[in-house]
Amino acid sequence: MRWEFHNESPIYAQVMERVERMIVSGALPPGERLPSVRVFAQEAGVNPNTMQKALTELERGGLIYSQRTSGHFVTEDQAVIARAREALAEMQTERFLQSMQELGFTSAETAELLHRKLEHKEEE
Amino acid sequence: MPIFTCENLTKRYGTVLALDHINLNIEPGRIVGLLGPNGSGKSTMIKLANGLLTPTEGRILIDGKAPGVETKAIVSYLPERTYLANWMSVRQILDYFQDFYADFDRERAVKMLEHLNIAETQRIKQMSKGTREKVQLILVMSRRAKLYLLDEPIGGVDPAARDYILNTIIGNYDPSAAVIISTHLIADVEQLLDEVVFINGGHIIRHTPVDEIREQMGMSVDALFREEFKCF
Amino acid sequence: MFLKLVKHESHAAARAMLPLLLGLLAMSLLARGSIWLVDTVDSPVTNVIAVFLIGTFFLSCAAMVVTTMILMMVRFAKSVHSDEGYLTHTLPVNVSTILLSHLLVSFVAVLLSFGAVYLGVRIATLGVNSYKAMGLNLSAILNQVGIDTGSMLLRLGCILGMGILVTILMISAAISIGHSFATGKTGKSVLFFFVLYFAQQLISSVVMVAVIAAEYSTTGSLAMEMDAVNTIPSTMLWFSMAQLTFFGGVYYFLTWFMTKKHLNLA
Repeated sequence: MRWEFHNESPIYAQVMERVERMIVSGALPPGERLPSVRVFAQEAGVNPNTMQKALTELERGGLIYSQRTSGHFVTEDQAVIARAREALAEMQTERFLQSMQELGFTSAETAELLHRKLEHKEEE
Repeated sequence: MPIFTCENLTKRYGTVLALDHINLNIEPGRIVGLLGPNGSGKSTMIKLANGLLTPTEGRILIDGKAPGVETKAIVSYLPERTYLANWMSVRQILDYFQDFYADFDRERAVKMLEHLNIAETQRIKQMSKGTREKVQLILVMSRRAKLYLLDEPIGGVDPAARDYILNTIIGNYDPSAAVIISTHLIADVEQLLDEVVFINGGHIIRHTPVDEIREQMGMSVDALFREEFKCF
Repeated sequence: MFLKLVKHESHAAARAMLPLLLGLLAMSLLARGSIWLVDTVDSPVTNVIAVFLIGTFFLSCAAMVVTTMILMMVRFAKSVHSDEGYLTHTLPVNVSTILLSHLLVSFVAVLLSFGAVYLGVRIATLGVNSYKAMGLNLSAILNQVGIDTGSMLLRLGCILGMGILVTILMISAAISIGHSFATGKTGKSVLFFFVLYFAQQLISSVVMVAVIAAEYSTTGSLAMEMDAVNTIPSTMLWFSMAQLTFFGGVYYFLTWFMTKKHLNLA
């Protein structure tokens, strides 16, 4: 299954985010070995260079590490994963607030709506 | 050194100027989209690179050499047309490629054909148009070439076939080789590309890395293409 | 690479030729049967059928060579000047190697078709006495007028072989010129075949007349006309061979030039 991409940001950035999510959600558990760049690229339907770039960036952030011969692995450092989780959540919230603003909601209105929704969900 | 170079490349058909003093360099290891509307000069450029046409002016170089026996040995070309003789069986075609191309990896081709359940005894004339196109792509991508020239590889195929074709390209090209894909269906190949070359009316109007378009302009290549080639 | 091309081309040619050869073999067997029928049964009905079959056989013999030539030239047009050309011309091979492999395979195919005709005639006339007698007589007659059958056959063979080569090259040139146009490729190929054919006829007639005239004006007589029968074939042989070599060279160059510089695959 090819991954879907939107148009606003570079593909490699979207691939990075996608892999980060897989790690944070546990779909790729700590210490797990990632597929080879070519296989991973094929899975995503992207250029291997793009996949390589995304993995290099992730490696720089510490979320994955590479061993010269055996490929890329997910970090076992829980603190790094927690930080990434934090960052993703923050980005997600940021996006949400941005679109609410675009719809003309004030901060108070947004907070109110959010409250109501959360209460409703808890009742379920 | 660039694997593909055009220097003042010009091609005239009678009075029609198909390519007008084009300069272009493509480095190894890149997947490049040659994008333009129909009749923009894409196919002409690819035919020139294969020595199927001779330039009117200027030159085209593959790995520093003009198209000829040496360059044909390192270029793997997928034309728009199906070029396989109807009467041939898959095995005969594999023999043919093995005989003429030193870089042909038969094992790889056989594996891909097996994956599609195409028997080696099957003849080309027994195949649907879609299957023929896939066989041709498998042959082309089974060469360990230095330059792949793919002319409209996804023109007129269904989405499933398109995914198969793109996956075959990703899965088989050598990372040290360059791939040039000519197409007018940009959205379909966009996530495959490192660079794009926009060509129109025989001129190159843009040659940029895809990331740059998305990062600096905040739009997809497809959107940019639509904007730059808008019909008024 | 040349041998590989020849191998693949032979394969393709053999595929096209096989039904033709089998057809001729069948026809020759039928003709032999018909001759037997005429010899043994004497009824108007069987005679008509037999004569018809024998006639058809001789027609097939004549058609065999022409059909082979056409088949080979269609192969050439297909593999060099149409869709298959996308593969042919992206092989790491020179244009001249491609052309020469086609020339060789076509030449051999045409020779084979002559061989097949000869074999067919032998089968059809197997054990028929009149044929043998006629053959011997011909040789005897030639010997009587002072012509050695062996050397004459050799000379005829040379001319025939050269003629086949030149014909193949002429058609190849016509196809290569015709297919350099964007439209009407087949029609234009046929047109250029006739253009080349008549040009060759015209040029060789003019040269022939010029040679005779030159000889006449210098010697005041025609050596060819006066000389013994033996010298005619020899003079004619060299003259014809030189002419054919010239035309063959021109056609080869035309084919090469049009294929190399003006290839126009649809």
